[in-house]
Amino acid sequence: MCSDFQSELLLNLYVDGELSSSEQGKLFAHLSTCDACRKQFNVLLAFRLATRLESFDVPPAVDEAIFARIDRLRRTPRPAPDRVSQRRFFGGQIHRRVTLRSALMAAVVLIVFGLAVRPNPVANAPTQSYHVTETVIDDGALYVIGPGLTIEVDKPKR
Amino acid sequence: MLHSDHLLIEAFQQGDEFAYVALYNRYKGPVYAFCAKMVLDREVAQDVMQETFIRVYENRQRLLKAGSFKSWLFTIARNQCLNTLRRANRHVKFDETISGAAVPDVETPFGRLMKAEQVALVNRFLNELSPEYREVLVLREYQNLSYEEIAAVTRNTVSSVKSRLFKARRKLGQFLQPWIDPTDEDQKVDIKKYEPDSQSQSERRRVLDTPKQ
Repeated sequence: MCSDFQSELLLNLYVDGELSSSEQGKLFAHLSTCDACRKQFNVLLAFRLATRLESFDVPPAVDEAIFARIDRLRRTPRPAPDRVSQRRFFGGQIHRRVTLRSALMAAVVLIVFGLAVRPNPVANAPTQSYHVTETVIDDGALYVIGPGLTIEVDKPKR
Repeated sequence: MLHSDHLLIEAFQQGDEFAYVALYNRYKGPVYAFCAKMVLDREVAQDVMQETFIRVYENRQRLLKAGSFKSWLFTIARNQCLNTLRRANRHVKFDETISGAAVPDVETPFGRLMKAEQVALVNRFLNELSPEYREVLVLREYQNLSYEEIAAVTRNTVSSVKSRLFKARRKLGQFLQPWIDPTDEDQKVDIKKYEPDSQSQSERRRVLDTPKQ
């Protein structure tokens, strides 16, 4: 085995057709002086030639077996794509079947909860103080409910 | 008329069964060769190849880039081969029926061996390689894949591929040199050292003389 690791590397690149022409000169110069690398080169060439000796013809029975399997696959009905689930949240990733009973219970809980926390417009209305002033005039009473409202009441006929 | 892989893949993905047949006919030989050299048994290789093409058919929509079909196909074949080897949980026993001939005598130079003997010797060497070295050597030498393509198939980096190829070839040199130049006195000394299965020459001859079962 050659002690020059770099040259062995160049030899590998050369047999793979990956060595630049500028570096090929360096390799050939080394090969002319290194017996170990020449032997390795011969080994690699012999191996490559040997790999070309075999033929790999696929037996017709194998072709038939493959297409028979594919034919069976094609005939097997596939489940139709679930278009409904795709429209759901997260592209249908989250979908579980629930019973009608549990759905109704969930609805009731939601309604009760919604009513419980619903804001009371009266309770939450801003408080405002009113004052009422009654003024008796000739033909009746005049109520001034401040601010902004005045009610005139006719004097009751006796 | 020959169509490019790209056109065939697109047609196949759109449901054209004839495109699949064209792809199958184009790649069945290379895939079979790859599987045969990985599992070192032609019958097993036929099963592995069958499984590979079935998976290609089933998973055609998963191939996003039609341009990478070859790498994708060999990746599937490689995974099937590794699964087969893993299931066997051992190196696949060398199958003499692959070559139809026994391993030759070391006194005969490699170049003068019968074709079947050369093939037998190559198979014997591949059988001694671990799958991680075997796969890069087979993809490079039998399939003529580039470093980048091998890296894609084996899910590795290009530098790792180069490194493994380098080491595999070193082992190849150690294994094959005794047969390349049997007259080399220095090499003769090394024969026992580099004997593939550490058997002595006499032991190996005894094994070879044993009739096949």
